[in-house]
Amino acid sequence: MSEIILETRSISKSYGGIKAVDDVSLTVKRASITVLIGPNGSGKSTLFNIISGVDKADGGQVFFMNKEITHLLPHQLFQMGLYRTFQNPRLFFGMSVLENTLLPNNSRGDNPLFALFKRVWQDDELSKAEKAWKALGTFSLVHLYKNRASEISGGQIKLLQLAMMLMVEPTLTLLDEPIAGVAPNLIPIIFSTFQDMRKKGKTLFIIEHTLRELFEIADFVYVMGRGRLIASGTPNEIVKNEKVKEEYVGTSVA
Amino acid sequence: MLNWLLGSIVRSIFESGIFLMVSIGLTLTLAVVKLPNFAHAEFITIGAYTTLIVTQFLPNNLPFALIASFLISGLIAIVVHQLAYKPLIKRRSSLYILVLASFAVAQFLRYTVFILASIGGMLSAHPLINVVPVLYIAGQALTNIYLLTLLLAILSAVFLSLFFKFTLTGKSMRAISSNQVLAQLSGINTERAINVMWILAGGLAGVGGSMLSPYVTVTPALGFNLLLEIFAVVIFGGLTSFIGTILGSLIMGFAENSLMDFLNIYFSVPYTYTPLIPFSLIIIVLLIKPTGFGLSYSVSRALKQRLIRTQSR
Amino acid sequence: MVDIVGFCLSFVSFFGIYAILTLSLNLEYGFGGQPNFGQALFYGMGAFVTAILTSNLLLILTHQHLENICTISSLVERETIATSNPSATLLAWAISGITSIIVGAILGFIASYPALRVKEEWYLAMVLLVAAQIFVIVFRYNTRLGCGFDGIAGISNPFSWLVSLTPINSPVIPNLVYSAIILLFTYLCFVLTERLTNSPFGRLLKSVRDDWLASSTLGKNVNKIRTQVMIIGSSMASLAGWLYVYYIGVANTEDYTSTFTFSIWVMMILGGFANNRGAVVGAFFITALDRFTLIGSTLLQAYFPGFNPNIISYSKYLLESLLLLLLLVFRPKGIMKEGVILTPAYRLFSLRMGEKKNERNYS
Repeated sequence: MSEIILETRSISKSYGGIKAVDDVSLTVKRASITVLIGPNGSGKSTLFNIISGVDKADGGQVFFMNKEITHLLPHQLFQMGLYRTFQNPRLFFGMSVLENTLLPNNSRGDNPLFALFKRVWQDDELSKAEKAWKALGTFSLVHLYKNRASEISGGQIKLLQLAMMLMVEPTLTLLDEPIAGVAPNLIPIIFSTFQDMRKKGKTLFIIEHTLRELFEIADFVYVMGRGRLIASGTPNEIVKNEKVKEEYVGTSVA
Repeated sequence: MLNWLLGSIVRSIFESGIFLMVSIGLTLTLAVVKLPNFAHAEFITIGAYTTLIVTQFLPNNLPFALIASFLISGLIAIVVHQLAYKPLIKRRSSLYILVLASFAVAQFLRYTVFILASIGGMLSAHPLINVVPVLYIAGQALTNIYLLTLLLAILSAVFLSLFFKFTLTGKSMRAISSNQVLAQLSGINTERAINVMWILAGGLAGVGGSMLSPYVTVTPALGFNLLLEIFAVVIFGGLTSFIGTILGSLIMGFAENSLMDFLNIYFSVPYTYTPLIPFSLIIIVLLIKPTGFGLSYSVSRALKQRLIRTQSR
Repeated sequence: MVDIVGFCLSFVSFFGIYAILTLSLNLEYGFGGQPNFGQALFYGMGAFVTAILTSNLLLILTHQHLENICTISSLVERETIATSNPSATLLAWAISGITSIIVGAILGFIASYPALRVKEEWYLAMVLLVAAQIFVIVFRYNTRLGCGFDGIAGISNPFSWLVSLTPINSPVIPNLVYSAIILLFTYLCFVLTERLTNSPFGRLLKSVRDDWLASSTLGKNVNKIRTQVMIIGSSMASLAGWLYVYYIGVANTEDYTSTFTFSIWVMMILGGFANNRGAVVGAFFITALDRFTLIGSTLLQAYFPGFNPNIISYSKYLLESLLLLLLLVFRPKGIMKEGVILTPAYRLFSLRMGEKKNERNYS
């Protein structure tokens, strides 16, 4: 198994003359928690959009598990094992928390003909229900199981996204600001979930605004500023990095 | 041999003029408030009936009839907007809900007219207007109504283009059609501009119905029967383009008359197949150039915004 | 004066058919997010396919020569066969039913054709609307397809032959039997939609409805799901057309206009968005409006001979549109709220959380 699970080569993207992403090349190691930080407008989300197939790069390539995925679409990437959450979550707001959680996995009941006969998909459904019970329980969402996704708080929506991630257990998950807006007492459980996933060999590539929160658990950090990669290294190295401090003038990193 | 051609062309031009009058209001509605108003056709019917009633009391009084039709149709348009569409638009209803609402408004107006016409014994009637030939061109009689229709159609087109270019309200409408929120933030009185838009949309349709009434039997389904053609004209024109609607009206007028005459005389195609023309036009446009053959693309994009709001949260 | 039994039977029959139509539209739009503004097209196609097929089959099955189905003589012949020949009648009924469903499914497939969707969302809605109009025009004017303005008549109750068999000799018997059968199909359609929507497929439908892009990002084949729901919905509508034609006896384009499509939308929105029970409830109320205005106009005509009966039916359409506008502005979700997707997973959670047994609404 290859060490490097995700690689970008010279990714560039401009929006009407402004270079949102400027020649970014990076690698993410398998079974790691890699963090991407940078001030607002440094191009982090745009880079994620390009990697996850939502946006098209102007130049450069993306490789996932040594296969080129530059031009693939989101649903194809999902099937390959790449999952992405959004800063402004895209959930199904007409459905309940439970229904959202049960959606990502496939089922024999997805076929309308089989859907008519409960016996065909019943057992499958019950085992998914157990999984959902654990996933929702991890993030203290079980009591909201029949609430519509449109009626829960912003932080709970973020947690629901993570619960859905647990149901899918993707090989690589791109998380866009997963803890912003989440109640502070729930952050430890999120972190331990991340660590569990790493232990199982899954990879997490996380965008966050500052390093402080993720310092303890991150394996490797990339820093972006004004579209370019300005620094990379272990959390310790980044904290001591002068260039990074400059980029964050007025903001503390450590 | 070709003596049918001149008569055919004369009729085509007339219908093009009518189509322009009755369709331009819909283009306006789509451009400014992004609403595919299926009730638009009813403004035509209301205009026709207004003329009918006015000429009962003032026979042959064209100016009065026209003004009355314009005002009444325009008034009903504003009322419909205030009571039905504004609340729905305010709560950011999806496009399909708005379309459904416009069906409902259309049906409501249409059957109100049915009931009133039924009581008044005017379910199928003619206005008391003397249709008098005024000119003769190579044996074809051009009547007073005919010339007036052409005049009004051309005047409307000219008036509207000047209106949009030079008046404050007209420019406000263009701003709203391009980006309503920005227009509001820029201090434009969007409420007033939108109301004026509805008066124009309804009023012009009413005048179109008025001009049509001497030539056809006026029934409460008059406008409803034109709905397909009007939408074909507007879709051809790209939904929001002024020029596109003019082109579309010409095409529709000629296709339904000259083309059908041609097909009928040389290929024995019965006239009952005429309704297939707007249908075919719509399909052709959607397949070949869905954005239509008009000009203002950026405004069509704004129409899409409402649709996108329909999809995501 | 008023035939009570006849009224009840007609109420029940119309209710059953309208309920099926509302269930199908609700499946397509309430659950699947596909606005079908041309439902009358599928309904009408089922009806005309049934009428044309039956008219020809009855002659074929009794070893007679095929003739123009629009003539009075062939009409009389059809009715004679229906009252005397049970096997031919029932066979024709069954075959036309199966064919209607198949035709509906094919039309549904075409209507969801991906190419139409690639460009713009509203194309589908516009094309269906227009196609439904054209269907009416073509079948109304083309005498070879639809026998003109009056439509195709002589599609008698498939149990007409029962009259001579029973000792009572009453024409009510076939009507009673057929109305019961309509209700049976209504029940079947209800069970079908309930099962479909309370399953993983139901979840897929709602996800496509709520955010098809997000659904696609989660690996779901949005186009396939849309096609599936359209096929099911259209088949159901065509089934309703088959049932209706045999009930009313004639296939006439007047019954399949856009005004009727509008009525189905009113039924759905009144009863409740994405709620199958709601669909049935909505159909019930509009059927009531429909049937009572009919009685009202008959009564008024009897007591006030000069009164124009049409005014009552005009009022019905007026009330319907007013009702829809009021609903849209004040209560767009309808009488019954959208319910949860009831699967074993839901019940598992419900039990563990100690909920009351019949809680099935979203909190």
